[in-house]
Amino acid sequence: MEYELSRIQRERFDEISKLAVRLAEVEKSFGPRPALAGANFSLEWGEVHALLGENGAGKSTLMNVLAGFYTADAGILEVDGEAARFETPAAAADAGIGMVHQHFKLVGPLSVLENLRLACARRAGWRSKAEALRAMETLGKELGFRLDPSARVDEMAVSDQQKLEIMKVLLAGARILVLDEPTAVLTEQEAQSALGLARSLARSGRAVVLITHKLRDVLGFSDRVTVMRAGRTIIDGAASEGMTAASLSEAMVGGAPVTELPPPSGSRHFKPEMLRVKALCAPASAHGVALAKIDFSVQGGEIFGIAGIGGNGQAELVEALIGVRALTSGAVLFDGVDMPPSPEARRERGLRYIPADRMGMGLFGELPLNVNISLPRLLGGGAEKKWLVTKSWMNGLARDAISQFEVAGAQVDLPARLLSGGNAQKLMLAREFTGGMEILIAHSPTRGLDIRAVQAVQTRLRAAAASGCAVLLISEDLDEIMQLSDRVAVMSHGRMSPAENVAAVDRARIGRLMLEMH
Amino acid sequence: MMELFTAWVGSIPAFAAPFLLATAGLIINERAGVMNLGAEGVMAMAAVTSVLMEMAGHGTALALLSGIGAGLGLAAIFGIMAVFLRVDQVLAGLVAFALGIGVSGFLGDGSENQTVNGISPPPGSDFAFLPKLLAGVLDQDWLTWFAFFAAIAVWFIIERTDLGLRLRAVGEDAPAADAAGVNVALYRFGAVLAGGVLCAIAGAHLSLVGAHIWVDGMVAGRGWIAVAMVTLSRWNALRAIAAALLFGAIQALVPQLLSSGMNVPVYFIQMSPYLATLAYLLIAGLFAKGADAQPADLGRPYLREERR
Ligand SMILES: Nc1ncnc2c1ncn2[C@@H]1O[C@H](COP(=O)(O)OP(=O)(O)O)[C@@H](O)[C@H]1O
Ligand SMILES: [Mg+2]
Repeated sequence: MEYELSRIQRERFDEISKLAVRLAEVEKSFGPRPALAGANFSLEWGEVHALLGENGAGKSTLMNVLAGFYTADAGILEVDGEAARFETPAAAADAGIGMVHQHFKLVGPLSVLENLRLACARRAGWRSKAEALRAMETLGKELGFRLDPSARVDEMAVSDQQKLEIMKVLLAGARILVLDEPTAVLTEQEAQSALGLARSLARSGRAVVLITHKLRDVLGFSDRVTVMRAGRTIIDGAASEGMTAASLSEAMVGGAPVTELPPPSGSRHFKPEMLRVKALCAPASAHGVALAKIDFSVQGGEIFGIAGIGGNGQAELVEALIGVRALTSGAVLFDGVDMPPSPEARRERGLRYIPADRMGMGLFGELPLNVNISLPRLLGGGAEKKWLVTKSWMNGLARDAISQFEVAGAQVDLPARLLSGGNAQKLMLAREFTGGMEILIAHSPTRGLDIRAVQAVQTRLRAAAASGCAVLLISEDLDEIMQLSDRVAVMSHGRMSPAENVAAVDRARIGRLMLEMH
Repeated sequence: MMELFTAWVGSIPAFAAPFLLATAGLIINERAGVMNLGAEGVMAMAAVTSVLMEMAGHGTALALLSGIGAGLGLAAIFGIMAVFLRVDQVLAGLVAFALGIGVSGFLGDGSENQTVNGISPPPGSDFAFLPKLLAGVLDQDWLTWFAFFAAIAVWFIIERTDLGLRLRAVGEDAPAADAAGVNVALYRFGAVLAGGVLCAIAGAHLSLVGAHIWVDGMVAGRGWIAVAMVTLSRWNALRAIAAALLFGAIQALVPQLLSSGMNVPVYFIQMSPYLATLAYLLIAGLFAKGADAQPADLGRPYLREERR
């Protein structure tokens, strides 16, 4: 008996075998340098597909081509088996593609519901606010999200904004979801649940692309993985199961495999206490918490780690230390005497600061690198105060910084905002690591960076401590804290746990401390 | 004295109307993220065109429509520069300003100071049954009435409708609006045109309702004051009504003082709107939080693939 597929069976088979997305030989340049030089990518229905690569590898660019934000210079794009070319994000959304961008595309001053109406009303066919609200509530229940429809988006926590973005994309009818570094801005718990959600969305018949540079996201949550490097596809959709951290990072970085940062060498010599914070209380920032009697001290040559989930007073503490947040009581002592009140005077006394928001608080995005490097030295701390500022002086400083700190893709006259995350952070370090540095405050210094950049930054922090500096490391990444710190304390709800020697510390207990005290 | 007061109060709405129309128009512009400094020029174009058309024997309605058309043409030139060619908006606005002032002076040369019928309040009072003061306030020509309804409509459309939601999104965060499927350039250009219409009507109001003549330079900085009034009313067309009434009241004071026989220097008359702006700025600076209402993407051109 001949076996013949029925018509329905055949259609079903075609459907299953059809790829959700196929991108082949895609090229795209911004200016002279190609961002994509023949990249390939294919996505199957029902899978979570990790797209892995270092900063600047071209992951976002490739997915922006799919989502209609960028038009490719050359290459093939197929969606659901059919050739496509999207000239606008709206056209891509009509084809069922939804992208949650690394920098969210939400209108900050508008409310949650207004943002949803803006993006989805037409596609979802809502005719009234009530209808939009009902749709939002139904989906919210399904996903387990609780968002206030009338909350202003720019006043919400980042994790809630991300939830809104995911709802937006789903309510607009997306079947192909692209999540661009969804875990970069989230705390550990939030990241776990976001990744779990990605998985369940894929299992419901959609297809999900997970852009990341964290190996954990790949190994734990994705079905297949594509690795990009310098605009090309290095691994094209291999099963995640067979992958190891070593093979993935080698594909990502190329050449020599990245090794773990070696433990600090030799015995450490701590100098006497340099920074002391005494019963410090300070008011809360707009969406933060107040500080309640913070006590700790940091010795010269020591890295003091402060662990904790973001938003528990870390930002307020840092602001109080650099002198932009007034204390309600308590004191900050430097070498046993009160810190001068102004940020400028503190800089001059040797305080250096790497902010969490490196483009907002750190660098002047619109200004070129040479100005970024030289300006703080004119303001104090560099002992290079001068009246006449020449271009050659600025360029000289910038060139030194670029070569010493290995800032890639940089020229002295490039606006800082055009640097990738890792290179922007290297510039930030170069700017702060000037003569006279005695205390270094580093707030989430490796957040959002790729492996090599993380190592570069961590190595610099160690070097700072080795040179006798008191280093205060504030990070949400517990691994980083444990790896670098000599002593560790936990912040939770504006309070700080007593400091402990890192060698004697139990990770699980630190984790509990991060959640307790609330 | 009471007479004087009644006359003054009754003349306020007509003095306020051009300010209000232009401010409402500029609010539409700025809520979509476009800073338009060309209002003064657009007003002048509309003022001269409508007077010339009426002098040529066309009816007032057609005169008004051609005034709107002329203003709209200039607004469109600005819009093409600012939105599609992404010229610096301050520069494009100054070009539109200079163009409007220059061309209107040229067109109106030789036709200055010639009276036209224009638009006047209906003869007699429609509100004679009301107290005199109130009747005086309500007895306005239809274009003045239109100004107030237009401001309310602008507020309603921006704050309460889907169209307004998209407009605000474009002005607050162009990339996000783009991602949501709103055609940023189209909305911005549309806002420039709609705002241009209102600015043009403001200009026509000056010549047809206010002066019944064309005089070179008669817009006299009102377009610039409207630019300031947008900020003072914090991008809200209802607050613009209050601001316009205040300015109208100060301006309306001058003719009353003159007709009462008081000796007011002409310089004071010329100075009064600026004085009012200064006073308002001082007051607003003391009391208002102000800047938080400014559309975040105001003045920033948008091109999808360009890094911001
Ligand atoms: N809009 C743009 N304008 C100019 N250069 C860009 C733009 N978008 C991306 N690039 C450049 O393209 C390269 C790839 O960037 P991207 O795709 O963002 O990398 P990834 O997402 O893998 O970190 C980088 O060199 C980046 O600087
Ligand atoms: Mg990216």
